[in-house]
Amino acid sequence: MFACWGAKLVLGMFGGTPPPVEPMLIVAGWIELIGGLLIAIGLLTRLAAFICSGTMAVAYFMVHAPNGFFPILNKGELAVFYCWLFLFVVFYGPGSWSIDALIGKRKSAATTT
Amino acid sequence: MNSLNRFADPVFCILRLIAGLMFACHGGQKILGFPPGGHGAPEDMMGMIGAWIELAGGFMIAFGLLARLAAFLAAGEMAVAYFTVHAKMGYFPIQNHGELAVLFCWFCLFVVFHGAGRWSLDALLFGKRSSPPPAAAPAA
Repeated sequence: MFACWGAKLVLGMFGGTPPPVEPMLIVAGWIELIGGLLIAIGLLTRLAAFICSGTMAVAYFMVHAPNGFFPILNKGELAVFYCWLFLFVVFYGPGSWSIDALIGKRKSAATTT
Repeated sequence: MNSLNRFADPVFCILRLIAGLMFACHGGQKILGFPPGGHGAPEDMMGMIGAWIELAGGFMIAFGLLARLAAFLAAGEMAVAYFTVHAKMGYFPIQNHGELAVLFCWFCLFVVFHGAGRWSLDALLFGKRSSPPPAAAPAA
C-alpha cells in the first residue's frame, strides 16, 4: 500500500497527478515506491524502513502539522501511522517470513558446513 | 540477532500508544465530539458499537490492557468497516479511502498475536505471575 503512494507520485498510477517537478517530491515518490516494495517482501527491510520512516516524518511535519494539532483533523494520521510502523520495523526486523531471513539462513548454513 | 532488536520493545510501546490513541480519536469524535470536526454520533446500532470499540479498544491497545482481546475486536471492526464502507468505492485502498482501515486492521491483528509487549499494563499486571510459565518453560 505504501508503494502505491510512490506509484501515484512517480508513475502517475491510481489517478495520480502528472509527475511532480519538485526534486523533493520526486525523491519521496521513489522512496515510497521502492521502499514500500522492499518492506513488503522483506529485503533489506531495516534500511528501507528507516528511510521510509524518515520520509513520513518529513511529510507529516511539512505538510500536515501546520493544519492542526490532532492527526485525525490535519489528515496526517496515515503519515503518523506509517512513520511509527516503519520505525518499529527498523527495530523489530523483518521477521522470520522474509527474504532477509531466507538469505540469512543460507549464509549461516554456508558458514556452518 | 541484531543489536537494534534491543530497542524493539520500547518502540513497539510507542507505536501501540500512537496507533491506539489515534484509533481512540475516531471513537471519541463519534461519541464525545472530541476532537472536534467529526460527523457527530452515528444513528444506527452498528455505528454506535463500532464507535465504542474504537474509543475503548483504542485506549486499551494504547496502554496495553487486555490488549489481545481489544485488538481482536478492533481488527474485526476495521475489517467490517473496510468491506461495508470502503470496498464498494474501488479496488485499491489508496483510491477507496480505506487505507487507514486496512492498516489498523492488520496492525491490530499483529497485536493479537504478538501481545502487548513488555512495556504494557498487561505485562505489569500479569507479567510476574506468568513469567516463569509452569509447564511450558523451555529450560525445565
